[in-house]
Amino acid sequence: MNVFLLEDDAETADFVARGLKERGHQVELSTDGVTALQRLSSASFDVVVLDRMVPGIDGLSLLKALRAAGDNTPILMLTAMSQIHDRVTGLEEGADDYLVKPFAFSELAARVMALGRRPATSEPTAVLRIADVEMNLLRREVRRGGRVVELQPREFMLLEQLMRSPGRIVTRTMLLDRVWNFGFDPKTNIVETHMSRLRSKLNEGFSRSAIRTVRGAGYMMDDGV
Amino acid sequence: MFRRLPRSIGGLALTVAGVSCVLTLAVGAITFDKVHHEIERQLDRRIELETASLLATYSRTNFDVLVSAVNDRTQPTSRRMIGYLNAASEEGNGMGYLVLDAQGRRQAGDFNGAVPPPGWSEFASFQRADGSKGVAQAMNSPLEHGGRLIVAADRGGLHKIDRSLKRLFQINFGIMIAASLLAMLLFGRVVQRRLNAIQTTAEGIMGGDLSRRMPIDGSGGEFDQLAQVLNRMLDRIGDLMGNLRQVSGDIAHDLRTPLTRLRARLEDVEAIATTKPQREGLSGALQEVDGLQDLLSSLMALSELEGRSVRDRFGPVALEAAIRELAEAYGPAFESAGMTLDLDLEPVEVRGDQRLLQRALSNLLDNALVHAGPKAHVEVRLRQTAGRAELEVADDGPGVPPELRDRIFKRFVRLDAARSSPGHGLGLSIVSAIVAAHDGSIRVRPSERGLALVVDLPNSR
Repeated sequence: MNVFLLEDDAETADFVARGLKERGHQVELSTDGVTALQRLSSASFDVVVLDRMVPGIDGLSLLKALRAAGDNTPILMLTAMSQIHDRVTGLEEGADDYLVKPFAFSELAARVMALGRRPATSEPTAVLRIADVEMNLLRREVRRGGRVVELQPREFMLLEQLMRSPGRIVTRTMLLDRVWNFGFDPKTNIVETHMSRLRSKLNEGFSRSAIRTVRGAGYMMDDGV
Repeated sequence: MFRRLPRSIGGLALTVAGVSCVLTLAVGAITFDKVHHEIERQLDRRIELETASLLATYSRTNFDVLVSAVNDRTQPTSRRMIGYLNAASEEGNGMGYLVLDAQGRRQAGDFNGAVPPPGWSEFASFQRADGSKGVAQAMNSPLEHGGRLIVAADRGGLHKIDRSLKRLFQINFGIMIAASLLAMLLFGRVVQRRLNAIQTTAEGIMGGDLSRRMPIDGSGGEFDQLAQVLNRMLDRIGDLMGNLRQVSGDIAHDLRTPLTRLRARLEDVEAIATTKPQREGLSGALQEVDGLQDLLSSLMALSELEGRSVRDRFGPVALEAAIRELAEAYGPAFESAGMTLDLDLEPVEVRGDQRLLQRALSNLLDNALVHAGPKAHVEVRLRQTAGRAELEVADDGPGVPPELRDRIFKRFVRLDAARSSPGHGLGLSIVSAIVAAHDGSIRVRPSERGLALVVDLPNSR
């Protein structure tokens, strides 16, 4: 994937760029808002990562400018501020995702991947299928190996998030944001406890776990053995 | 002596009104007394002059001339005689005369009453020409060759003047009292209005809105001067608090970059760590970084909650549904901890920020999960009472000793001395700040066992 990164702290920028390159992405780096705006208006990227506080034009203004110009490239905002409404304003101004510093690189990588693979036009899909798990979105029904699995609404939403990203890691905080969207991180590990319920329902009578835990990163569903 | 003066506006107004009444009464009484005596003196003087004039006539001539002089004086004045006298003079001049011969027989005069004793008489009764009874001041003087001359002046005029004076004084006094009461009322109202405005503003400021200022009406009066001084003081306090918030915000913010770098370096090293102890040590260090980040976030959230800006996003919140949503998220966590979470909710709508209110409850539930202990039972109750929403989170765990209950809302306070349990001691401070931002209050409800926290929020109107 072709990633544009705006980050003024050289060390952080280097770390992120290096990490993304290691995972096979191309990374173009910029350290101030003005050059970033020039580059972004002349070239196209799969994902844009913007730091909110940079010299020149700040990340939020850059985001507004891009959206006003009709640029729909997925944008991930990075910020050192996690004040109560920063998250909201970023998303309101058209950011697709939001990450607070300091972040774990795996979290950033997972989110960049999720943004880059998002279909440009969201085609309505009625049925999602990974290995022997099948989810019918219209009938709100989940089957594993042909047998219906009864799920609570939140468990259904959790599973849906995983099934919409086959073969990719979905982090705990991504699930928290997308399934609950409380706007804060509860101390109690809500995702983990719900996930363990979901798992026990899905795995009942099967030897292979339908959902894989990626240690220190998140969860994943794939067709692999 | 000023210590005895009343301290309230009402008391002061009453005192001033009372003092001015007493002064008016005193002035009235003195005026009345002086006027009364002056008129009495003038009556005496008139009697003396008439007596002297008649006695002079008598000593120059004889008894008959005196009699005719007295008759002249008692003859009703004719209009034809003195054309320009008005009708009032026909009422008589208020003087009475009597001439007695040596045998005590009345020879002339119109004084119709008992002969007063020789010398001055202050109160001699007589009957007027119109038949009414009167009291006169009289002087009974001896004539040289026997007989007496009595000159009297009717006190009726004096009474009339006394009555007029009293009436005048009553009216005056009434107006005086009415005017001073009205003045006090208006004065009191002006003072009260300005003080109320100051009080309302001060309460608003205490409620966290430091942008408010004392009203100034441009009159340049004492209240405006006071308001200006108070406003300058508030500007100063606002600046200082702004600085403080700015500094703590800046510190928290500036720590983010080094923390991000630290985390990046640790992750870099973790990627190339070969032995298990290395990986474990690095993962522990990463957890510490996350803990620090969490602490900074909490500090920044607190500083933002204490400002006013969070209120800009307030709107109606269906509290019952918000609680259910959060409780549903926490359900499995309680279950896997072997605890139960029960809801007993009434539908209540409050004005606020749903995410903040959920965050407050989430902190309370986190708290219960950590401190109430295994197998504990936690109950969340929501009640609507007289325009208030009352949210209670109660557990049957070990609870908090009564002497420590006041401390739990303070920052960085953790009751377990060893500080072994997770958390940084800001959870309940954040709850308390969120509740305060909603104009609510939080307290510990005394209970026999466990901890019961009650959040009181104003209902949305």
